[in-house]
Amino acid sequence: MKEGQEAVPASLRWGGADDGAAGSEAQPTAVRAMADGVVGGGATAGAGGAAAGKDAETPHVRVDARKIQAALTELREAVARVSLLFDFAGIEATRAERQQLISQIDDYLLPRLRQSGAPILIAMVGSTGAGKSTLLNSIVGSPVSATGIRRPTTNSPVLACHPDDEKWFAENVFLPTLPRVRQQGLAMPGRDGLLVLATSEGMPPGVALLDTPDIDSVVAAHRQFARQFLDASDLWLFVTTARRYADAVVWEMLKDARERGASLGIVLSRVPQAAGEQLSAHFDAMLAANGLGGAQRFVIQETTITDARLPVEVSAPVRSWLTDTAQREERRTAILTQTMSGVLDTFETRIPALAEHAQMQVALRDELVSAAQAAYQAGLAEFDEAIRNGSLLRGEVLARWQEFAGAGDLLRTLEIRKGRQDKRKSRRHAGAPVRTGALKSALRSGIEALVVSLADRSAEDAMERWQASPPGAGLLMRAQEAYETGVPAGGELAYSSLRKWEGELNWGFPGGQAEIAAALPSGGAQPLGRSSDDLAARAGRAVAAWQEHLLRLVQTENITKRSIARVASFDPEALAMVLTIGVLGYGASDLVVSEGASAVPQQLLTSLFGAGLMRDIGGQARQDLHERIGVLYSEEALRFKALVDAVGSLDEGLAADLYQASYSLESAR
Amino acid sequence: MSPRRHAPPGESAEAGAGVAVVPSGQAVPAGGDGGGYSAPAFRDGSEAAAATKPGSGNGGGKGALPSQMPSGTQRSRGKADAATGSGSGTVSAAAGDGEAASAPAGRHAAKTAAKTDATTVVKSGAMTAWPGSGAFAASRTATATAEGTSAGQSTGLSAQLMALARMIQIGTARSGRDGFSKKLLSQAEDVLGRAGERMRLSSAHTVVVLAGGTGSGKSSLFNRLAGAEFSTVGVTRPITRDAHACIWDDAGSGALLKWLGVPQRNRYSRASALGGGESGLAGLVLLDLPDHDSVMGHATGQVDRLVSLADVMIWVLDPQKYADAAVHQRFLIPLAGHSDVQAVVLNQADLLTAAQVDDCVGDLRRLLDAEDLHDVPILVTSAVTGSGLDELRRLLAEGVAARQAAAARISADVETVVARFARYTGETAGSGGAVDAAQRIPSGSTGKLVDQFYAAAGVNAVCDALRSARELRAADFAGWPAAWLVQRFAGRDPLRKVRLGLLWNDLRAVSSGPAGAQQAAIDNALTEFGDSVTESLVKPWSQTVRAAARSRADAVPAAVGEAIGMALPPEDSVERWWRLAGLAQGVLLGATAIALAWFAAVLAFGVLKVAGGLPGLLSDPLSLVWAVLLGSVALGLGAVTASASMRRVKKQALAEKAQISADIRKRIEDIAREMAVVPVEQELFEFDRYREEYAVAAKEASGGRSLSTG
Repeated sequence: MKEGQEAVPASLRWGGADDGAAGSEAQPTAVRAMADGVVGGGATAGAGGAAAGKDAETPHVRVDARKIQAALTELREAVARVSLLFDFAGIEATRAERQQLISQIDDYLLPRLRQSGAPILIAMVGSTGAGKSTLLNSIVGSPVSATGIRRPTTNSPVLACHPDDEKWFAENVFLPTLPRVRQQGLAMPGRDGLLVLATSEGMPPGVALLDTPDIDSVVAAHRQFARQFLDASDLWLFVTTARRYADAVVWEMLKDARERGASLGIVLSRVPQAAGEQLSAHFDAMLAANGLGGAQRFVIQETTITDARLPVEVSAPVRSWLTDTAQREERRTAILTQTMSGVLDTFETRIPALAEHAQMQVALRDELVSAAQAAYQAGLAEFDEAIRNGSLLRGEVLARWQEFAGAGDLLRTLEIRKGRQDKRKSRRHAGAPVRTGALKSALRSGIEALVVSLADRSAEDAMERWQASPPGAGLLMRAQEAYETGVPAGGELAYSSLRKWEGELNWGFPGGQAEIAAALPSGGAQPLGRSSDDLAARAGRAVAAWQEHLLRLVQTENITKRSIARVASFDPEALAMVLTIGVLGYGASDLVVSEGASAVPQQLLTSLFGAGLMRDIGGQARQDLHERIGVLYSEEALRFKALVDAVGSLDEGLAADLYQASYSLESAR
Repeated sequence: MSPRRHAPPGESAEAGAGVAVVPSGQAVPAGGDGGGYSAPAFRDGSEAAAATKPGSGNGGGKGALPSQMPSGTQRSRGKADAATGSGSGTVSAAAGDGEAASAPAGRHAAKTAAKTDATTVVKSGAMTAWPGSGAFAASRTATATAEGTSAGQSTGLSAQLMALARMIQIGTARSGRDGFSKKLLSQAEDVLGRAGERMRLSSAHTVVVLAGGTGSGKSSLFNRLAGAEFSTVGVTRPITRDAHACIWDDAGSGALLKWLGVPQRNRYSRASALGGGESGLAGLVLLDLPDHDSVMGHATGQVDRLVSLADVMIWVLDPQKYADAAVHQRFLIPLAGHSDVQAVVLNQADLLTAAQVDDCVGDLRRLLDAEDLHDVPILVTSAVTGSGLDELRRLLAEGVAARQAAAARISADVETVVARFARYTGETAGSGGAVDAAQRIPSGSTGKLVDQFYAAAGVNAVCDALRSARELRAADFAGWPAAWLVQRFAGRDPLRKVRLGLLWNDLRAVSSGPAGAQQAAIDNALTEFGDSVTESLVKPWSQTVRAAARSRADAVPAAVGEAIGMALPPEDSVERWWRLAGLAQGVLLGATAIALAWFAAVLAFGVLKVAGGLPGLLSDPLSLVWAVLLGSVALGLGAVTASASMRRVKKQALAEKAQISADIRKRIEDIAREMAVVPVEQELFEFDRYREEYAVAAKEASGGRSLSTG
């Protein structure tokens, strides 16, 4: 088709064996070649003396083929490891691309490399109603594929070959994923999705014809099918009609063939007798304009069809071209070489593109995790601010403080040092007043409410950030689905099989629904937008621990000013309260209760502790609280990360592996 | 009889003006042409109309039958268009106006005409569907013949449109990621816009499009129906690149065609002669569309646009292409709600045998049924042999005569788009009727909200603090000074000694005052409240209601603080009886002092005889007893009054606390109502309004066929 044929390395030429050898004779050698894992049938090269020129290259060919096979296997493994877990614009296309790469390697490249002697597989593709089945029947000479006026007619692909070639198309060799039925001679539509294997003496040996479902009917599965077969075949016989040749679908398909450099034959069928010239001229012009001027083209007139077959003279050119292809070794080699190197050429750009996507997946995952973390970071920053600026000293806390301080309880806890013996005595007298407890619990619940409220807001924020990005929104949707589906009962077996099925179905989505569902809080994905249920309790514990810490600080360290400590001692509980209030509001000058009186008795604090010490202790205490709440918030953020992790793990070195595999394939060619 | 294309503009300008003087109701046969194809200056006339008065159109076109009047008869050149009236068809306004008709006047007339036109459309009841024909779905059309029955339905459509407009309005304010889909809103707006435009334009015309893939024979069919080779037919593909239009009875169709965007060179007029079997087609605008599936056609939006504007869609399929994804997935499936105004034609039947045709039609029927297009009729035609064309013509005639296709199309559009709004109505399954907005707020949640506000403001603590403050303050007056003195001198109060006295004042200032409320606790309460209300709501509403609950969260603490401040009594208020008690205690203290002095005096003068000559009261040692008695009684009385007073103070403070806390609670209830409940109720009211509008807009769907496919 193009000069690429010349550019193809010799290593990719097929059946480099003897030109003179008939196809039938070549087959046993090819079988052996397959067994040896050797491509090129070089083992028998000596048989045909005419092939002396190629013989010189034979060892080289052998090594390369093995290399290519190894490189392809490596590449396939890397491609299969690509997990497309996180949605982005165009993920469907990428999933399809990944799947296509795998099926091209599995269904076409590797089988071709292993069995170079297999018949040339010709896929007949085209629009519904173009007459693919009729053409097949005409070539075979007997009705092997059903024809009719219903559209689409062919629901199961039909593979027609010579009985001798049947072994090449056994389940374990060719399209292993596709179940098949055998039929002899007559047209018998198989069940949808089955490959019908029809052997007939009418087929020329060395070539197999595959009648595929249409590419453009309402049955979407057919399009998928057609693609799969195209990927697996050596030569495309594209069939369209006089009424259809300008359809957009047709040209999409043809452009695809051109881009991957596949060997191509084009049939324009159902051409009205009268307008044959005009039509074929127009069609040729269109082909030429689309860069397909070089493809083999046939025109089939609109004729009467008998017994689901065209008249012999109408289908004869196609048939003889096929026979020729099968029997003339250099044509066969050219076709195989062209198609295979065409596919391999496309890998040069497709593999790096896939690698980029693999890299992007890692980036998307990190983005999601860091989005959730950032939301909680912001929440924690807000918490710090609220702790510092005195906004906590409102409502109940303030009222309790006022009661505590104003009612004189504070001062009653103050004990004058009279002597060593008195100290002990006074301690005994200074029991913790009721109001101290009330203030303490008010403080605790105040901070607790703040923690919960900010956690709520952070969770909402994280949710919003996720919803705003395609991977996040997709993940949440999937999570909700998984939750609604529920974790399947039935233990490990059902679980793992479900997981496997999921992964296969979704092409690179190994994370099972069960994992996702397990990572969710009870109630589905929605509760993620709220703080977790037990956060209030945990926050309460954290704050209580912090209060204990302050109390110990007061007890163990001499924090009151020496001038005061000399003459008076305080009940540590009450002192800790004063300190807490000071920590929460000290230095917040804007905190004015009424008539210019500050809620925080600055004077009391400075006279008790001294300004410098107050600053130091205040800073320490705040830092301590910050750390305790920080732990809580990290735990909250972990809920989001757990969901991300439940989807599946990503291999960060995968992109490099892909590049590496692509490179070794290049160097093997 | 040979058809003739339009004359060039210059030639036909005069003829175009001649439309105006046709008397009402008179059917003027096309002069001399005898029902054949005639080409009056339709094009230019209508263009003139379009130029001067967009949107006019011959309201009731029936009377004003335009035809090719000889140019000599024209009287109101250039004003023909203004004369169109509403249904009555009286056409006389323009008579005598002459050439000098001023542009503003013309425009005014046009406006009036347009308005009348629109009203006519609404009132004439022509808005539902095609009349029950065998071919077109007869589900809800059979009765729509009499004006009386259809009037309700037509107001139904305008009500539907208005309801849709309001739904869009409500939705636009709530669009966004979780809200109403912007795409859907803009689609709905498109539907509304199209409906408005179409209703303003000629209701006398029915726009029928022939659509299909390349090579299916649209153009052949079009030419067959039009009776002439207007649209090029050929073997190479694709052929038709632009839409072609053929108009039966062209009067007033200019604006319509301009709206459709059919270029002038592709417009053909077909005089609707009475007789000849074509009278029924008067008012038909038949459009031959370009294909939608060829390399040329599938990328352009022309087909999509025209299909969306058409009143009736005829899908031309052929045996090769009838199952193509291109037509089914792109058009037929999305248009499943439009069964009433669609038909499928299986063309090229001549290529198949009769048995094959049946097989093919059966398969096509199965396909359409699977796509929920049960009501769409399938016609089998052949443009080559002409078979089935009469049936197609009859189908068209029925649709055209009823003049309801435009309305039916709009109605189907509205229903389809409204059905997609269903997901925003939520909980339709459970609640039968409209639930009152207030009832949606769970009974306990408002009380809980108040409780939480109350707690967040620390009202209990405030009241306790107040009580303590009152007691302390009262103790200043009614406390027994003697006890205080004793305590002071016994050195129990350390303050004075460590010179921390200043602190005392500092702390006293703290003692009470409006404490505000914890923002965080308020936020939590509002979040919980919002959640409790929105439990049963669907997505956009659950979000907006929640947002409404929190809309004034920032203002709540200050408001609560203020309310508490208002409820608290002035801090230093002093009750009168405190002073009385203080006075009494002063007297008693005085008495004690006197008794003490007396005791000392008696001791000095009576017992120790420091000096003599004093009254017996001071010198009689027995007076000692009396002095002691007086002193103890005074002290005892003082202690008793003090303790009684303090008991009373305590009791009063307690009562005061209860009263104040009740007062504060009431105030907080008001705040909760104003700042949380009312916004939520407003949003819920909007939701109800939306549901009502939806019910109105979807009325047709629920009343007649179900549109469950949407």
